[in-house]
Amino acid sequence: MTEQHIAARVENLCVDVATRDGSLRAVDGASLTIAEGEVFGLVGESGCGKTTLGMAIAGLLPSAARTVAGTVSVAGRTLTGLRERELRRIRGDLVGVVFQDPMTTLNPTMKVGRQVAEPFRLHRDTTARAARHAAEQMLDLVGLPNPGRVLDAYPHQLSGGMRQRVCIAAALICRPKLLIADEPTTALDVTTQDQILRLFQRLRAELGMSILLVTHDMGVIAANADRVGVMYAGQLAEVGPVLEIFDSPQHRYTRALLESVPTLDTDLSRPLRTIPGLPPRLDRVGPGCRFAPRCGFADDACSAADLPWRELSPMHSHRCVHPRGLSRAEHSHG
Amino acid sequence: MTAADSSFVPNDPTLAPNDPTLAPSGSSLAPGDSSLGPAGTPRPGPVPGKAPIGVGRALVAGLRRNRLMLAGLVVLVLMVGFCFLGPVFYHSDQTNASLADQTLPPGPGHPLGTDAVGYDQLGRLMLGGQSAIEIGLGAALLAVVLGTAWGAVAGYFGGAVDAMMMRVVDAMLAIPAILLLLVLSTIWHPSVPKLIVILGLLAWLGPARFVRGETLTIRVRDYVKAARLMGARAPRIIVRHVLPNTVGTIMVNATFQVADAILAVATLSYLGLGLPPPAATWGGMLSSGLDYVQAGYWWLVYPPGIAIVLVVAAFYLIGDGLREIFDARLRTLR
Amino acid sequence: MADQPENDAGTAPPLVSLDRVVKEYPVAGPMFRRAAQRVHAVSDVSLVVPQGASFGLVGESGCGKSTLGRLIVGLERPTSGTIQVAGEDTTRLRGADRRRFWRDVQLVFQDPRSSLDPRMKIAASLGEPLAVQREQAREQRRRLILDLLDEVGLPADAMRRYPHEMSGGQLQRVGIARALAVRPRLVVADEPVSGLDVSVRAQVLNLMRTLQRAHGITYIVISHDLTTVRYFADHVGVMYLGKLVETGPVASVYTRPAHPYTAALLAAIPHPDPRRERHKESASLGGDLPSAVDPPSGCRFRTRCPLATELCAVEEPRPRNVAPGHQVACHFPLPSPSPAAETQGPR
Repeated sequence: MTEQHIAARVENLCVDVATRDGSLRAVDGASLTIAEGEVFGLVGESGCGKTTLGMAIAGLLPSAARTVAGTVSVAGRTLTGLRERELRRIRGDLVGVVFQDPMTTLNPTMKVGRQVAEPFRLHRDTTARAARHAAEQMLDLVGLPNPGRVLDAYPHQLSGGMRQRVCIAAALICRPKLLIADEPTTALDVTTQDQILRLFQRLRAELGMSILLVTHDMGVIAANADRVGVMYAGQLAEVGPVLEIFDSPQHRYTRALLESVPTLDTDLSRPLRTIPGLPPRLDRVGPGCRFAPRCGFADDACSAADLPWRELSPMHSHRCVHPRGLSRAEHSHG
Repeated sequence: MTAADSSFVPNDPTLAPNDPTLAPSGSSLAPGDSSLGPAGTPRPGPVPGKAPIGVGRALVAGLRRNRLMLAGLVVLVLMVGFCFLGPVFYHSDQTNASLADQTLPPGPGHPLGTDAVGYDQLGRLMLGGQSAIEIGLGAALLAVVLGTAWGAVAGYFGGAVDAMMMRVVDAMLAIPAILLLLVLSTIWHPSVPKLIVILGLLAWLGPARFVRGETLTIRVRDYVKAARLMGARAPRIIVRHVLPNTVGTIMVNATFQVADAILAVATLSYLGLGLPPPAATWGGMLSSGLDYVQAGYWWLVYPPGIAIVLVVAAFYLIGDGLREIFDARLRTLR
Repeated sequence: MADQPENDAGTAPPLVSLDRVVKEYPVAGPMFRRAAQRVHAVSDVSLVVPQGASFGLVGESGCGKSTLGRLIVGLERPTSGTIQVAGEDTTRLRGADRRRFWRDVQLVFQDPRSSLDPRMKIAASLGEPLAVQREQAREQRRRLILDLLDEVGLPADAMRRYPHEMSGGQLQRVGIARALAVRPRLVVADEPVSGLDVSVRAQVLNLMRTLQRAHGITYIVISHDLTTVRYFADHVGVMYLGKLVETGPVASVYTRPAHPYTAALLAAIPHPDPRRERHKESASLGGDLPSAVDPPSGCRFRTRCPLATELCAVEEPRPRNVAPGHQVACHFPLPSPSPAAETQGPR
């Protein structure tokens, strides 16, 4: 992967979030790269820091959060250390963001057309008419029937799926290099989710952008991501191509997570596999593997202060002391 | 995506990573495959220094943060001590007018001078404060008890019951309170209990509306549904679930009610419709002192005026502080 | 069903039976004007849940499944139709009879945090149903609470905690314990695990399944998540826009969905298997859910159905049997891929 073909690069990023009881390290030493045209899935349970990492890449960290170490760059431009005024120029232009709940993302008092056109007017030197035209084209592109009429609708007049399409149109109107989608389908029904995920795939192909897909749903990851980053308690545990992650997960947490998801094929005669216990509190984590207290394979080696990344292949690495390894039987039938 | 930018609220749970109140730490080391029962159950540790649920501890913590509230409390304690304990140490004749001592300026024997009929100002200030505080507390208590009961019943049952009960409140609110006060206190011969009843009966409308509003939001909570499904009757639900969850609103409101009642009773006395002489009232002192203000008898005007302002302001500062504490508590509770 | 003694459910008498249940809400209109329009939340639903069965109710948001749940436990009354629980018409119950009925029926809520009074310790929340029913002495009640906590896998010292001191998974265990406290005959669980994280979800699902088997309680589980229902229920009902479009044994409905909507729903679930997902050929279901104020004539699914004809707009399909115990309300039910496949249970 040469530098030109990298949409986003995160290196050793540490983000602290201030809470009432002092500050917590929400993201601890995360490194990843997103190639051009790639869908990178970031998966983890709530509170694992995946949204904070996503927002750090979008330059949208809330005021309570602070980048304390590491760098984030998008399309070759470094975001870390930029002032709010400079960040504003990048947001919506180089990076588009789609949030979980389209209803709270859209302003209920503003017509859809203006909201979709707004980033375009802010970032491009253009006329109101041209912006409106661009908005109409975008609404058409995201598959809304009758884009001309949707332009003049208010958000409450649209269904949940349509609203999310509007949000996607607004996020993509400046043709960003990278789209960050934070749980974009969690608030939607399965059939609508299916529509939206298919839309992402089509837009990725048509616009050639990269997508960072932040989700808790392994099914969504399986269906859409090219590569996957698994986060646990503020740290990346494993990063690798989607097929390898699902076929031969190395980190014990990845494996446990995959096994605890009931599917339409789960053997009903046995209880579901579960991960005992709860994720640790981020203000109480010590050195070593953060999953160790819940891991059946943990031993003294897991509490070593510095857990190195182990490479399984150039694209697949993890930080597990007792990786599952590659058993050929499992690999072949996956 | 500016629409998103402008409405980006960090309400995402991941941005407040691993809220310590929600995720007690500590977990068992059960092997990865165990699924059920206590083995998989984390042992929640104590939650340190976090949103004490007890009202008392919240008050102490709030006082430590809010200096104005502390000041209000100190002033109030001093004023109560002055009015109720003062006469124990400072004796003055407040029943027999002493025409020989008319309008003496402050000096030995009379630290605050004497009034137009020769009563000692300092002693009179203490007695006036007693009636003001007694009436204020009594009226507020009556108003809050009545209003809370009325509002909780109306809000809990809703529908026609609510509509009828709240129309009564609206109708009474439409009557100008001061007019009603004037009429009632000319009909009745005022005494401390009567003034408590009159002011209380006028002031319960506010708490009724507040408590009804709170109740409307609480009665749709799942825990109220759960209580109904246990077979609990309405009185039990109101007493066990609704009222404890409105206690913040009630306490804040009660504090303001006291201040308002003290002001109202001062107004009445000022107009000569309060407690009849020889009873001492701050309002009465103020009004008779005003006749002599041109003559330079400042000690007849300032002391009662300052006393009223101090007590009323103290209650307002306390009420504001309480509101802050309860708002913060509500945020952590919900 | 692979693991559930299916014949039990088949011969057991019905515990819950719904007959043509309708629930409509007036659309909020301006005051003093009679609201002419109504939301058809539940339309003409008939359903039988046998004693000891575990019935799953699935559908997307707005399909009326939660309303149906509230109707069954009696938190709301139907506009028309009857609901019988243990042979008693619950729509007629008032006052003391209704409270007695509520002892037999409990609800597990979606959000355990909002289903527990934030100002009550866990012991008080768990003790409340016992106190309300006034059956035991105080010491006895304490023992029962400890037993309940143990049963749902919580340590005894959880008694002294407040809800905000516990995690979502732990609170849902408390919610389940509270529902079981009065030893109900029927438990309705509305999205019991939707608010929980993946790794905790499995713990709670396992717990619910174990408890169901231990106590023989009849369960109705309401969920938008078909995988949850499949794991938990032996029978399933699929709802669309207030109508029950398909019912039957889980094994039959999930492997041989007869209603095009059920098929689309099953196909839309993203499967945690990248190979399978990438070769998914079925097209996604187009369009949006029509308004429940003005539902389509005939079959309500016809506006989004790939198989719809004129007949579907004119005539409402009546439920018909496609396999033993497997009913579908569709004019053109999908053919069974392998008719000879195993079909268990007479219901």
